[in-house]
Amino acid sequence: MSSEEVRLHVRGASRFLDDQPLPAGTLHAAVVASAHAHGRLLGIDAAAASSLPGVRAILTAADVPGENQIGTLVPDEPLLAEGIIHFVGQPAALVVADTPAEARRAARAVRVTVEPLPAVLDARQAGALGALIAPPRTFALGDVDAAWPRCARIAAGRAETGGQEHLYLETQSAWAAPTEEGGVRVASATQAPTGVQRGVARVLGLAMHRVEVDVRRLGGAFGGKEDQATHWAALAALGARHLGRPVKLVLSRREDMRWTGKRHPYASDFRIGIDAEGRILAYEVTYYQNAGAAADLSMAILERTLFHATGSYFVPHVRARAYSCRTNLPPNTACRGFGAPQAAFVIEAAIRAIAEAVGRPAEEIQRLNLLREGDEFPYGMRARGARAERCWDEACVLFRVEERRRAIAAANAAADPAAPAMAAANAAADPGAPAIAGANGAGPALAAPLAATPAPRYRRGLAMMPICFGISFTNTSMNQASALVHVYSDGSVGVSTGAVEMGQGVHAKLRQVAARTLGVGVERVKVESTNTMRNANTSPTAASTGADLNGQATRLACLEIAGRLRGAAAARAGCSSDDVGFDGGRVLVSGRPIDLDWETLVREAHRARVNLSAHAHYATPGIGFDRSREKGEPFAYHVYGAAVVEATVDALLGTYTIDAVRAVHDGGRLLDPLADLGQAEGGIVQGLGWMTIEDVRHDAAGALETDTLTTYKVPDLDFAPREIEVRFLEDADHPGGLFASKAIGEPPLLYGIGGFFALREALRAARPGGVPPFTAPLTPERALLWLAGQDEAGA
Amino acid sequence: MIPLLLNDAEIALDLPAGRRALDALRGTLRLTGTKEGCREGDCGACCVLWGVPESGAVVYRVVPACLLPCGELHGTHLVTIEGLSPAGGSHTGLVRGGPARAAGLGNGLTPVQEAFLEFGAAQCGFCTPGFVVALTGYLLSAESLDPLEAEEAVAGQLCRCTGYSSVRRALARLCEQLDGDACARTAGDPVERVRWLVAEGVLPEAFLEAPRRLAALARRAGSASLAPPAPLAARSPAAPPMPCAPAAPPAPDAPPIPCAPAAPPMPCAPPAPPAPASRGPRIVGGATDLYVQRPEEIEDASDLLLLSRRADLRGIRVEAGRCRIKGAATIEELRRCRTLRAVLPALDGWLRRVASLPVRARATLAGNLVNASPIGDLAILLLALDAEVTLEGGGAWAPAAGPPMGRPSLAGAPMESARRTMALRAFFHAYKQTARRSGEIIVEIAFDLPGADTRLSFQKVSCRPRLDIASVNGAARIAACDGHIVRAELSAGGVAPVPLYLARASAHLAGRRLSAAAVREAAEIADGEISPIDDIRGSALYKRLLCRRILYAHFLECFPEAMGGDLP
Repeated sequence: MSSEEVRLHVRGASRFLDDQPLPAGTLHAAVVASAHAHGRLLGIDAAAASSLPGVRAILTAADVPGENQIGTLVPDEPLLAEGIIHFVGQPAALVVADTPAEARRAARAVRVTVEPLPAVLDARQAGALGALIAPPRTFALGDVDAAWPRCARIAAGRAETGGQEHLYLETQSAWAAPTEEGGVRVASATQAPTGVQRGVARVLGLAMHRVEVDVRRLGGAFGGKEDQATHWAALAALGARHLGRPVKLVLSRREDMRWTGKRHPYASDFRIGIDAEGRILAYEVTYYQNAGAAADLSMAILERTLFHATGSYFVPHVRARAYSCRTNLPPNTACRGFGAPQAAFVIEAAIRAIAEAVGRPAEEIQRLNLLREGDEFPYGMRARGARAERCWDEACVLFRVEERRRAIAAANAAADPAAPAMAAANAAADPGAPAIAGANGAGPALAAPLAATPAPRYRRGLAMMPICFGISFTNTSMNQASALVHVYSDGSVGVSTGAVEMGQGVHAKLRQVAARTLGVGVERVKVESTNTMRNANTSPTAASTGADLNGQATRLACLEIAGRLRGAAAARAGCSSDDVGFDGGRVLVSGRPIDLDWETLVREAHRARVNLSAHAHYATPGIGFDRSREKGEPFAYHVYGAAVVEATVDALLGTYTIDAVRAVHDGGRLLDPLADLGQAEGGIVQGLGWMTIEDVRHDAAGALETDTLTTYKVPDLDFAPREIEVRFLEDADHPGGLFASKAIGEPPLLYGIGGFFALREALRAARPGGVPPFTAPLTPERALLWLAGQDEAGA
Repeated sequence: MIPLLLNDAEIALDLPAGRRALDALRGTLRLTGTKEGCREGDCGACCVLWGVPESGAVVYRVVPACLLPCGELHGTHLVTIEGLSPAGGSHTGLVRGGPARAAGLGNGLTPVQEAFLEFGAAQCGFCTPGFVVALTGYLLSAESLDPLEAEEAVAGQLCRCTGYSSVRRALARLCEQLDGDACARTAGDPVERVRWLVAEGVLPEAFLEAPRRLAALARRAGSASLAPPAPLAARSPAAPPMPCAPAAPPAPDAPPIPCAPAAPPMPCAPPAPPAPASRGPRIVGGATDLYVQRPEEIEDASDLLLLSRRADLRGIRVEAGRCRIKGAATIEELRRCRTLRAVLPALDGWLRRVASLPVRARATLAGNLVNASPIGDLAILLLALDAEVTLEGGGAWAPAAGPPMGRPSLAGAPMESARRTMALRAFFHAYKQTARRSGEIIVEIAFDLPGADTRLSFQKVSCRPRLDIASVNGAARIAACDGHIVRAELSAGGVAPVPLYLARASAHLAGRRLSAAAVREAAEIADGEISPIDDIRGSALYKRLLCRRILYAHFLECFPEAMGGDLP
């Protein structure tokens, strides 16, 4: 971690957007949002509101000077509603007032008249109605239809995953001020400064060079500020432009939760077939992605789902279909993992389904089918440097998985002396049946379940969760970055890139890259805010690529400057510049320090009119994808890993704990071990939350019910497993990586999926013969209802 | 004006007493190290240290600034993350003497901050100040240095980045490196504790002077007590002290305490118009529910009756087999009550599940009852304990303009202050409706301690195991003798419009043999007493199931041997 950044954090001295001192005259904005999920916008009556104290302006779509549109992939998202309302929380008007309280008071007084239309909230329903964001896509490998007859056993089922609120602790926020030449300067809590710049320019009808966007740091983002920071920045800019004064807009927690998109819920159908040994021969899957009311990044997310359809496994015959379904929810958006976790959940569910059908441990099927060197992914790329088996096997040894499994089985058996009898009773039932409805009898709804829960109360479960995650933006053109590096005449170094610091430690990594490349101490290097005037046309800090892309660009820029300085040193020392090196602030010739230090060299080079600045550009080599064939090499490389997760369920009350997550992770050669460990541990807990207690719920009218921290619960310290152990694969250099490292941001989140399956094993132990549905999050409510045979499938 | 010691500066806040301390800090005072994450006390990002003078010392508690009325700050020491950070310490880059030094940049961090730095326990940094404050508060009050207790102290701090592992490592290190003997030696002695922590570099030296400065502050404010000025009283100088307040209100003509040099650069918001006088002041207990549920009733209000300021409402007494909890006693005070802990060792664990430490430090038991949430944890526990509540006041409130009908009553005080005592089981009438009359306050909650033949159980099931609102909670007090139930008292929350005493199920069990069959019958009866609804905490089906199983869990935990292996 950047000690500089953390020093500020621990002292409360780091300034987030809402902490910045405001220039005199700054006004405050509040948003009037739709209360309807779908309807005709008949009118906006701001008369009463505009006479309230402090109100400066109330703006609607008619006041947008440029294009009333912020959709990036598809122009389907107006800045302010006109015509049709598409979701609860859609911005309809902007109030600007002297204080935030006055702005909110007036926003509440604005009357938005809507003629309601029927709303669709469910992805399958939207799919059936043909309400799609884009045409469906299909990835295929081999001949799945021909493979089914050759399968020894086939299982089919459904899998569902819910949404996930990002819950960055810093809410969406922006500040905008008019510039003298009619442009606008924007501070935005965004992962995508260029995205905000483009969006603001479009809405205000300005050329991009008139819009400056600056980002110092984010209080968490997790994808939620990749596309969805633009709306608020553009609204602030609209207010600033209209009133000629700075305008600030900071969403309250409740507004943020209600109005912004989440991780996409998915509903999926799968069919899987294995041969007699347990090798997966065929896998067919259909995904219904709940995109919400606008495209946002849904198609890109859906594409990543398809890329990760087979998870960490090789399957020779695959057909994966994906539908991005338009519903009347706020547009769902990027969220750590970007569609890959949803795909991984389905293949893991399918493997459990087939394993249970043939009565074998899931781990056997998993291990047998792990990706090996040269295996082909459904998109045509082949696994290079495959480490799936290595991670799995090391995890099994390191964490004594066999021993743990036996201990858990023994504990469960001891807890449940009646198990053999119950299992025998249930064996007669169709193993494919979703749940054993008769386990508790069909009698009085609530009397029987009590009697059916064996004592003592606790059952345990274990699951293995292998991961394979492709690194690169799947949109090839986004895999580029630039760096602007200045060496100042006193030897200090400033680095500017497109990478946004949001807690992942990318600035510390950039600092390190510059320091290593220039052979100086990190204390000489400062990483600047992310600013569109210094780095243009940047990709968002997303897809785990922030350090890779911007680090490579930084390295190239530093190499350029180092090359010029080597020349200057060689001239002075009378040697070849090839013999010159820098280390620890000293100049070396043929590896030996000479009587010249970095500061002197820089000072002299400057006097000698050597260019001490460099701008470099990096584009990931060797990648590309042909969407007409759905084949190509979309990823620079893959990240592998394997986790073992243990859980305990209270069979009486349906409550549970995730006891331990232990993982062997392939991080290449770690660039910043403390930061990488933090990313892995944090990702795991966020993944566990998504799978267990984080339950995004809307009412029948499409309004979010879980819109506060009182109703939406993320893991707290007590919920987070006490034992989280992440071991990084040793001797795992990644040739071609940034200093042989691998990206770390998203992949570890997928280990959290193991939490679902460990819990599910514990549930199965509590109700032998039962088949818990593949529905996440597995809340305590779902767990108890299933244990009691009262869930939808079992009732 | 609200005089207080803010970090190391004496200031006076010109804000409504109901304004959140968080808004005063971030808005008026521009101290932005305290972060706003939720404004509901659910994230901990805005935690501050709140030091209240108590018998010559200052006792510090960690509280969420978003739930702390500015009125409570009167005469207290408010410490933010800025006040905990040693001068300098924000910069590790090249410092060339001149400008950086002049700006006060150095390298000092407290051991708490160092531990977070060393273990990477801060990622995005937004939650970090809250963690540092909460841990510092732990060190101020810890009886011993125990990593698990330190975890408990930060259990209410949400972090979305780290997964908490690095936090655990940081506080384990902290407990290891600090002097455990010194901690034990200074336990219960706030003056010595502060001295030790200043010596360790955990606290800045300003803490040493806080008791003296607060005393001086109180003297200058013209009052020996720290009771905040009652605005209405201030407008009628001739008025006698409020009948229920032990201490005199400050003299109305006391000179305002000038703002410290670091005075607010931003103009203070104008105070809101006073609430209609006929309603009397807004009664405020811990305000932990009020700010969440009806913020508009308090945020702009100047006229607050802060129960925490009434000495007669403080404390918990255990005597003659009866526990008496005063109306302003907090949940944390109850948890820390040693006498009660000796009798009811399980209470500690139950109360930890109710809310995070910063919220427990503010939330009162009486408030939990008055709020009348059907799912109130304390209400459920106290129902099973057959608690009695004593109410005082009520009736009409005198208008502020002057004593009505020529009676020399203090404006803003209740016209009558009759006391009445009733069974808690008769207190809850309907959803959010209780027997409490307008203006009445709960002055005492009392219950008999369980005898040797009596066992207690409290169960709570929520989506997140801790620090969440229950889907269903339940409590039981069961007296048993020779394998028979002498008396059983069962309550359940989240299953009716009110916190529910399960009268019929309880009655059914009396005199029956302790057996799973009896419990099953009682569960059947309870199922007929409850009327849960589908809501965000769970479906009605789920709640019925939970109510039943919680009932079983009571007996399983209290009488495992009698429940046997055959059931449920």
